[in-house]
Amino acid sequence: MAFLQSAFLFGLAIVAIPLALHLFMRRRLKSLPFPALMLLTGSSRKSMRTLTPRQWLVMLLRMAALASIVAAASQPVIRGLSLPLPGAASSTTVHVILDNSPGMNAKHNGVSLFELAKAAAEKIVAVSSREDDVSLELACETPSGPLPRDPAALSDSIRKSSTSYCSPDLGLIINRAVRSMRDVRSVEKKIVVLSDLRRNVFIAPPLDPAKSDPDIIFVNLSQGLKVNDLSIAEIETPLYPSPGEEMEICYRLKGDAQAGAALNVEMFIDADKRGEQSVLMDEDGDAAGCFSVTLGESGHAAGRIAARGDGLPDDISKRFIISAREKMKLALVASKESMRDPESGAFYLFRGLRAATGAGGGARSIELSTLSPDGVDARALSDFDAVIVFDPSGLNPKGLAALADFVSSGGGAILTSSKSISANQAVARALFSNSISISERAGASGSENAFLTVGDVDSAHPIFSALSGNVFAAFRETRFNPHCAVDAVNPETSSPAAFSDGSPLIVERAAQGGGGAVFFATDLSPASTNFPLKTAFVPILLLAAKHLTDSSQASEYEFIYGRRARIRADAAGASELTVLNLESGGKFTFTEIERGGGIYSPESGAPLPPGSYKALHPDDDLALAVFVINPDDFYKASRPLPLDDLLKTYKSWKAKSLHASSFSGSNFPGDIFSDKGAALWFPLLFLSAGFLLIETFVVNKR
Amino acid sequence: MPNGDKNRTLSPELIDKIARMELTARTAADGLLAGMHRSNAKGFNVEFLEHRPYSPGDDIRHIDWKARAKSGKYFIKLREEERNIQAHIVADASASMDFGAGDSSNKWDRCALLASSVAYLLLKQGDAVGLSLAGGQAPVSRAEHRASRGQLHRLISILAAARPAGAASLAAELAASADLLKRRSFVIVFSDLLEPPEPVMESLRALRGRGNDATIFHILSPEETDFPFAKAAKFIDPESGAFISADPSAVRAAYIKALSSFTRGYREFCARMDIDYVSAPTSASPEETLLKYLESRGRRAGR
Repeated sequence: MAFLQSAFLFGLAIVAIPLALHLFMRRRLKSLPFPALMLLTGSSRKSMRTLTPRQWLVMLLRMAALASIVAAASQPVIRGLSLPLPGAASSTTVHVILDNSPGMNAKHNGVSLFELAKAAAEKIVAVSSREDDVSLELACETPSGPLPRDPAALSDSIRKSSTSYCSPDLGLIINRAVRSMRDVRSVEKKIVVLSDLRRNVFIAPPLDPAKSDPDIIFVNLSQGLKVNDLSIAEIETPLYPSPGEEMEICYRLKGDAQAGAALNVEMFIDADKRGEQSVLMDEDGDAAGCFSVTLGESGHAAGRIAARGDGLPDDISKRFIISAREKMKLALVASKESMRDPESGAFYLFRGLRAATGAGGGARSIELSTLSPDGVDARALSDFDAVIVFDPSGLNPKGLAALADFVSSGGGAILTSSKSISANQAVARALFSNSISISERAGASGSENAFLTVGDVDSAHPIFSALSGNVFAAFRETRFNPHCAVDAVNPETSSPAAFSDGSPLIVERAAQGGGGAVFFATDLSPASTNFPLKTAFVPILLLAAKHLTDSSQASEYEFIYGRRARIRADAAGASELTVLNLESGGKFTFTEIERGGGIYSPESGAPLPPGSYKALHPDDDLALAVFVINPDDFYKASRPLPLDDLLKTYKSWKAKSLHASSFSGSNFPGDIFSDKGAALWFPLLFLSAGFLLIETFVVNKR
Repeated sequence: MPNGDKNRTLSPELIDKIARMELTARTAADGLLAGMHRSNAKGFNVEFLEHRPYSPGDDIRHIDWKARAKSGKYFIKLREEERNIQAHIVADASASMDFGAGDSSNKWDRCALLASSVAYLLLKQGDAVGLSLAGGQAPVSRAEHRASRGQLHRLISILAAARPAGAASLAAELAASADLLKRRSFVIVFSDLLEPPEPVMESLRALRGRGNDATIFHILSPEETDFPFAKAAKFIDPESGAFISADPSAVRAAYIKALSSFTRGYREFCARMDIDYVSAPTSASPEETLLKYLESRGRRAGR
């Protein structure tokens, strides 16, 4: 038995009133003189015996009447048991929570989970009787007012509902529904949750249950996440992040998941969970997304992006490190005339780079400048991290030599080919040390038949690995009519992309002291290629610039696992390191535990608190690493409860779970309305009246 | 209720009450006497009536010496008196008599009225009548036996001035009265008899043993005969102060049974001892009570 208004049970205290009156009146019996007391004495023992039970009977009847009234006010109900008592008939109140988050778009046998959920909701409405009360709530819509409760209008609302982009907290929604239904006077109260019940949607913990709380029926529409070989292929971090700047960290998932399959992606920065989102796998079984973060004042952050889903292994994650850098200073070397000429590739190059690096662009961490070809010299180049040279024919020998020095000193140079073969060959000599030979391509007449497409591409190369699927696909559709051909690639150079005839499209040479040069074997003019019109054009150039300028710092980054710091031995070379907490400034001493292996451990042996750290070389104060202490432990500890465990926490609410595929076997949704229960307040009022009548006309009549 | 004159003086109200009682008694007795053929007062007469064995305490002047000479045993010669007899009224003025709602049904009022009426009847036929009160508070609690015209007024004055109180012992008063009676007398007791019956019966037995005639007017109120109470109450004995908390509905039957047994005991005792037992409930009119008594007395005399 439960009480819908249990607070009224405190009123049972008034049951003590008849008892108090009884005891009080016993002491206040009316005194009557009676001379024949000697004749009454013989029956006194009996009188006192019979007096007490009768008065007790009266008192008990009155107490029972009061208790019945109070109990009736408390609205007692017996759930699941229909009693043939007058006034005990009851109704069922059902609140349907329809999950319309994007994950419900996942399809099963050609039907989306949301369509399944809507069909289930319509069934509930259809089988409800006139006495029952059915209401609907869409998880992704903030309640702005009561939805229609008329069955026809409700069914219409269900049919018209659609998914919406949100990440609902079903735990919060359920708690809100439970609270609102506590005041509902129906005997049977149920909340039906139609959802794929992904774990990330239960953030708020269940409320402390009360006896009058509704039952919760979880209808699990999930068909399981069927995906193999899922991995986080790439995490793209800002090129030149700065402290306090909001930036995006983007990821790309690769796998063979069914299109529309939903999984959760979480992002941790240091030891904090900074984001969580639900993503749907595209037609290729891939998915991509971005998290927006703001880099802390320390300018350093190390984190992890992890994919989670029912049935997925726990270790689908990838680490990333962000370290603040000043903005990349990028120069576009092109003549003003070419940048104004729509027939020139420089026209598109300039506008594309300016849009990407300007306000609202995706590469705001890049500071773009222009430099005329005849102005290229060592002094001018010293102001930049990288340059993009459009048509090197404009460079004079002095400028070309300065560019070679710039690359040798760690700068990055990206060059497009010129229609002048000699100019291209001069580039090969100056920047590639004759490691490549460039010749005029035979048959380069501009005819349609001469156009080439993109051939083999090293998708793992940093220039391409960060590209999204669509952008990469756009690049693959690019057509070229190159004037020159790179004839040979020796070990000093590499070709991450080739034309469809197998000749190199992009040639890269890393410089000894860092930096490097990338040569595009196309002149970018609209007559020669549609590359400048492709969405991949600017991203590839910027990724190439990032690749060339990042290479010099890549070896500095490492992680600490548990209590061990693994630092590159050649970079460390010290028996002892000072490790600095970038947030608190605290310093810790790490000693090398494997001579020459670059493995260090805290001297104290105590684990360091989670956070970002930098290892300082004892000799030259070289920043060696930025890392997170115990990220794996934290990551594992942060795992949400498995769904079964989560549902167990709702067990106190008599929550039960139905799987969509088992509807037929569970008599869904008939079960929802089958247990009518009994409302006992009217029977109790009748009972109370009965007690009073017995007391008045039977007991007191004697 | 009797007049509760605390100064024990004859207040105007008391005098008025006495006059009314006297008038009422006369009226009641005259009404009863009208149509009666003879007085049925029984006593010692000069005409021989019968012998009875001598018992200690009998006046030896009444021993029939001739019978002694013939049989060798002592017999008392009972005679039918030709002149007035000596009657002694014992009125129970204990606190238990101060009971009954309203003047008409108050036990003491009824006791005084009946006693006055009987006294009037006796005095009217020339008998000497005396009075003693059992218990109570009264300036004068005893009156010598006289047959004078003012005796009735004197007796009524004593009854009117008395106030029931205390826990009197009727048995003791009867014993005391027996000692005071100089000759065989007609003892009339007006009481509710609500005290242990054995001592009372013993005293009555002693009275009868001395040759006295006796009549008991058993005065009870309707509350005592019917026990009509409805609600639980604390019943207090006005004499002892003892009390019992009881639910009337639960004890009524047992009480009625106990009362019936109590009165039956007195009836059977009186029958054995040849004592007139007169039930005198205050619910009945005094005329009715006296009429029934005199009729039964007449029937006995006729036998």
